[in-house]
Amino acid sequence: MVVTIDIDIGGTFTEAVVNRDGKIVWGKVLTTTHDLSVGVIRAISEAAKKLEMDVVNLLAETEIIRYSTTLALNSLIQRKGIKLGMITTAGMEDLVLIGRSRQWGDGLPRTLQRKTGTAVNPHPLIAREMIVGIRERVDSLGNVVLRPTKEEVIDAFRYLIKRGARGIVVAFLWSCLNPSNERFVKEVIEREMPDVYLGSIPVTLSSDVHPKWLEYPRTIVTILNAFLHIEMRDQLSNLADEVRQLGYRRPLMLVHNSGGMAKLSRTRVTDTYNGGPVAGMVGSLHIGKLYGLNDIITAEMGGTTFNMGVITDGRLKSYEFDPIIDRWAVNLSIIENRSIGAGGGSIAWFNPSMGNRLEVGPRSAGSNPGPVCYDLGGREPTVTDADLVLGYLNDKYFLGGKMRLNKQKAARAIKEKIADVLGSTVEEAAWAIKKVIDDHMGTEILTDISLKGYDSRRFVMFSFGGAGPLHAAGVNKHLSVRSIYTFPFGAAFDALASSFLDIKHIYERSVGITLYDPNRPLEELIEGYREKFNLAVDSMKLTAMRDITSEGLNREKLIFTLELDMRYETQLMVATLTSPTQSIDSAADVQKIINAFRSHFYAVYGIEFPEAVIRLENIRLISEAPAPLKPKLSPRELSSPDPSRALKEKRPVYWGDEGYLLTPIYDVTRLLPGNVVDGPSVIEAADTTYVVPEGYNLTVDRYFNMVMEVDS
Amino acid sequence: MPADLELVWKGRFKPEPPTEEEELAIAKIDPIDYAVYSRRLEMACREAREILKRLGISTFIKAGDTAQGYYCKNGDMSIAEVGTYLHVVTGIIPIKFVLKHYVNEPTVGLKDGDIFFCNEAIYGGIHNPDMITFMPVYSDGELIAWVAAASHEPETGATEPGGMPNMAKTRYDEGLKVPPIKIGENFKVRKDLIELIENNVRYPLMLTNDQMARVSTCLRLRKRILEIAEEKGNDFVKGLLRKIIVETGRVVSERIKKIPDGRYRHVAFLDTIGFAEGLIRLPVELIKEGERVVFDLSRASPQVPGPYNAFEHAVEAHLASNIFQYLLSDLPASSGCLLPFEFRTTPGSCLNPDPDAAISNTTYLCPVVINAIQIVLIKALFSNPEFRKDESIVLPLNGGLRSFTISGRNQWGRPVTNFLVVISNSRGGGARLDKDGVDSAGFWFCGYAEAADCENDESVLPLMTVWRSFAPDGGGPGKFRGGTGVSFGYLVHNTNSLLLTCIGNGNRFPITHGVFGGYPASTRPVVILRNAKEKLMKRGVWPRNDKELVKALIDEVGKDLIIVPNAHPTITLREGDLVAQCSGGSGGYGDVLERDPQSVMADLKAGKISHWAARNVYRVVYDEESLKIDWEATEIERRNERRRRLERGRPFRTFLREWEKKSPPQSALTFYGDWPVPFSSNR
Amino acid sequence: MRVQITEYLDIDLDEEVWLCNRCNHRLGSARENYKYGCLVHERSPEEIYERLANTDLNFAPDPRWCRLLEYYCPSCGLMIECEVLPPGHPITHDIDIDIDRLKSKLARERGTA
Repeated sequence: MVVTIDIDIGGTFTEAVVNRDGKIVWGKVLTTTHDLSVGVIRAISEAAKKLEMDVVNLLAETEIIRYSTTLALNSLIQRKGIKLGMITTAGMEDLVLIGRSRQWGDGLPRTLQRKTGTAVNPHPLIAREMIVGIRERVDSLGNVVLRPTKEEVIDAFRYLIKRGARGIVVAFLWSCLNPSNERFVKEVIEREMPDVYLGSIPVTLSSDVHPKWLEYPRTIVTILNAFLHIEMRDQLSNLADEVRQLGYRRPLMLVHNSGGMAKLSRTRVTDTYNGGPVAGMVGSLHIGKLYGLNDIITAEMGGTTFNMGVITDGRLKSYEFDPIIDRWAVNLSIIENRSIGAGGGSIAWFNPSMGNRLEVGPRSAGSNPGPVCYDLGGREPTVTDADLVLGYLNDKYFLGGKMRLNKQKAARAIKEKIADVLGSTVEEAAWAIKKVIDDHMGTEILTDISLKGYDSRRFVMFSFGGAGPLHAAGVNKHLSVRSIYTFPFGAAFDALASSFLDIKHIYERSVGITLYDPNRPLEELIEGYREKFNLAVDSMKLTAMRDITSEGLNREKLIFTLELDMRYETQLMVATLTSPTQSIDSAADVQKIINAFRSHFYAVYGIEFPEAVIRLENIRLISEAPAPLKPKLSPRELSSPDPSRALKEKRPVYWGDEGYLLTPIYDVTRLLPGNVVDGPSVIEAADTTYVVPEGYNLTVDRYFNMVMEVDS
Repeated sequence: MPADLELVWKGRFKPEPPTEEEELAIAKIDPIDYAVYSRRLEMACREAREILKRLGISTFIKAGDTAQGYYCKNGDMSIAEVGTYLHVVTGIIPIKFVLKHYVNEPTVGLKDGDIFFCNEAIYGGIHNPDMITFMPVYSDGELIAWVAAASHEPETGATEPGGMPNMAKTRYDEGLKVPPIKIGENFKVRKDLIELIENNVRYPLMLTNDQMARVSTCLRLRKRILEIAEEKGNDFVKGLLRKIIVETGRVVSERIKKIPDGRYRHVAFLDTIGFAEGLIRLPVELIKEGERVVFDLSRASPQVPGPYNAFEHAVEAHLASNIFQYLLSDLPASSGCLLPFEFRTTPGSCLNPDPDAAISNTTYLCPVVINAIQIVLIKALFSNPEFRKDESIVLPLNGGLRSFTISGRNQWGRPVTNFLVVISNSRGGGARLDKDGVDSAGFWFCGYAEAADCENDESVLPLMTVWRSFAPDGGGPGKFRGGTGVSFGYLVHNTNSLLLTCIGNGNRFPITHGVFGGYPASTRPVVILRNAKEKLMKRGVWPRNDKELVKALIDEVGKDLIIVPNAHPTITLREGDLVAQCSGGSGGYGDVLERDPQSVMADLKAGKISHWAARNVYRVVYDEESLKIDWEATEIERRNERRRRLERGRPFRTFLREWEKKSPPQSALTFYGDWPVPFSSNR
Repeated sequence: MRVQITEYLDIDLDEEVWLCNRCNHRLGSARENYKYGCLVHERSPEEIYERLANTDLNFAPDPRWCRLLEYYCPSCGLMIECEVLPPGHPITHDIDIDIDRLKSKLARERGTA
């Protein structure tokens, strides 16, 4: 028996998905923030019970436990990190407070970014009096212009400790090209202040954490990691201990936003940010491979937010263009997964600034008070209320019957707040709410796809989340994707998805190399940087191999990919490409890189500069090792297309122009692989609802996944 | 043909009333379709902005100085995404020019696939670095809309590189000025016309690349609106575009009505005209009556013989830039918003000059005017409690101060010319009724903008940043302090020499004022230290801002430490020289004696004010080492200061008698016009 | 009826006077410039901005080109407004509210309230 467990620790809920030799069960409990292990073990126990086992026996069979967590982000938002001091280049002490002059707007919705009068900077992560500049300097060519003195370093360190620093960050200009000054500081501190140092005041160098060009985001990334590392480590290692006591002795694996996973000790705090949704995309990627699908839009609609991601050519290629964690701009390579305020709890309202236009969201009723129909005190009509009034949701079967919905209240709220204003019927108003939110999500997807240069029609859509399959067809109205896939575990997909994760690490650093100069012969130029390039790649590979070995895996199974961030010298636009070679041994190698860069730049920007100097700024090594265990999806026998054994009832459902139709309602638990459900129909599950409009049909395939397609 | 000023003068930014056809179309738009499709147009504009940002080379595009949007078939601007609100408005006139002059002109004509371009400031843009590309949108053979994309390009083939020649005297020093022309047909730009533009500028690659980027942007905008036309029909689209204008116009009119009727006034002053210094008067009177607001700028100084003139519509466009960030920041950028506003200027003044006037530095003139308008708006809005919040009762960002253009050979021996955008993008934000201004808040023309990293600039230029810190005392003192800007210190490094051109204002006379007792933001000079590397090393001094630099080397002033005069021609810097300058701070709000002493200490701690200011201006008594406040002594000191005020203040009439006898030195009045009120014999 | 007009100034509409709203001192007719009722002090900008160097151009505005005018409440010494002008330039009458219209507007609002 082989068991894998995937845990998603959220702010409110902790979920555990257990895959025992292809049988999948899950448990979901409230997160116990005071001691995470309590909630985790409860969730695992709940799942174990469904397998008629106890926790200890289950863990004895468990090969791997993977965690994704939003804890780091939550701690960040609540500012629950350690008190930091920073040593930086003299004259640059205000760097993280100046914040590129846009800190006040970073992470805020566009509507607030427009209101210059309301601008307020976020509370700083390090107070100004905890920042000390010392005299040192490296220049843009990587040359040391000024070395720091031992005395200044000690003075700075003492000054910060005296003021209560529990951790020190060292961030110098251009340390990404030459870390020697930063390393000198650490050496001095270790050597001269061993007592204090060994009394665990961690000294974190920006050149260790994130040796990448551009000092503001590099410093921010270093600070975020230093700020929260101890908090995260303590929480999770406690968890590791608890689980070990119950018999699970293997390493704790954490889900990364690079689309991979790694041990706790090989995880930076910033790697975990948005890990869950990214893991969801990895899951989609692998499920896509099962079907031979290489171009997938992942669309997850929950209670408050709508998350979307794009997979192209069978790979997760897109990094976030301008990543921001909470309010902090970071230049990390985070797989892009965008989030907008659109969900079941999104509130419908009239916007006076736009001529009283009907809008839905971004404000959400959340889970408390929640939609009007939850009967918990919510007064403002939401998407869920509209879905209920339209007949898609079953007031007696929500969450599998665990919760009853008050349809009358929902209808009244919609009437008073929306229909009466529009001068329409309640159904028409509910339909309008659905139409507005569906179009909003659809347009967001369409814009994103076309900015990447693709046609939406070449994609399929994977739809998840509590509200996903209900709205998927509506969202698709302008995308015209070929098919919409929905999954029986859709609502807990993220936790399941991490079971597809490979061990993946991303190592990146800035090299600042002039690769090509039309005025100099290539052979000559190469001599100046060949060693530097190869050394940088090799040292990252060594680190990768060391990490993989410590994760208990075979380094021979490692696959390396090298990515390059390059630009033409007089431009700032950077293009990222996969390097055709992982070492530079000859001019021919460089020529390959140059050619690849030129055509890639042309493909992205549509222009070329044949005579221009070419710079290589950053290199990025992606090391992947296939995880030993992948979940098995066992194909079933196909039954006949007739779904009638799953038919529950017929009830009036509102379908817009067609008005009310008596619509067949099916029970997902009684559907069989091979069944085909024709629209208009509704399929009910405990965790979600599938809406199949007229013109669509839904097929249950051999893996029990459900595929909606337009009738041919 | 002589300049078509009728097109410009007749308040062409204001939308024309809906046509009958449009009224009918609007009536047929149901509220849900309006909700869905107006949202679509917003998203399309946002998509367009992303495209231009990604494809453009100009550092200004990177910094966000763009606009892209939809115009009705008659040229009224319906909805846009920015960037900079300036360009949104200025797309209107070139479209109307084409409609007026070329549609029926057999040698030009108008049809689907035509691509137009304009950078002549009389017809569009604010000055000629602002370049607009626009296209008609045809559906089923019918013209239903226009699309436009605009961006700032820092090169025009003028007498100085950078597009804003300080020494320009007339338009003929300012480089390429293209009135609206058709540069392409059948969706393809003509090679010979591209060659024409390239042949006239120093950086042809950038201009052509960005032209194509704007064309791509227009094509995307066109595609999205045609998708809607296909779904809902041409009439729907025409009605939708007009409806947005009508609805926003309605909201703005309602909002304007709430301003108490009366007259509100302020006067600002500029202290340079480009190649020379001198005071320029910029008065504002806001006349509010019912639904109308008139900005009377008629007693401004006469047209100047330098590039500090502004066409009247440029002033209006700058108002749009400001008002969409503050009073109307919840509304879409639409020309409906400009309906209630009227401008009055005197022909022949610097705000309504001859078409031959030099105007390339308009962007250092107009913000000073608009900042004065912001102050009168604060005074007009305050008495209505509905407006009394930080969205509206807030001082504007600094209106200028200075920028640099640097040219020479970089650390790799290659020629570069670069406009240090970072300086313009880190200006202090204005104080508001309940809190300080944000330090280093952004760019005047669009608050949320980026001031790039040191490692960015140092990758392209042979400079080493010695410091980049909050400029002490840059913000106007007050109960709530104006945000301060950033002090920059650059060492010339890894090159032999560089040419430095400074553009700017606010050396002798503050250009950004406070309100309700708050002081203006400071003036601030450029400082150069020759042989800085050597001097600073020898003294073991590492200044963290320009004031520290001057204080540490005060004995070098007039020798190797040069305070650069205003209106100075290009300077040559050598390896090892240092140039220091600040981005501007903003004005203060309220009486300094009401400022919480703890805030004063916090500012001291953060290096945002000096001890000199803490003691002499804010009148706080404290220990300089520990920064511990002596509350009792502070209370007494402040009480004494109020008493001193009563002693030194004179009754108004007494004061006035002495005051009226004074005047600034003659050298300051060379370009002023009649002292004290230009054009006073008019009307 | 009393209405707040600026941070520091109110108008009593019945008596038609400007008031310092910190100490209630009456500054003069609401139909005229409130500055008439203030004490005025003209000062060099170098008193507010530290000059630093003894050069023609320095870190303070030029006192020959620019003067700060401070308007004080004659009773409590509050700085009601501050203005920056070239020496001798006419004083700005910055707030000139239409008193009659304000009265009728407020009366209308009270009427409908």
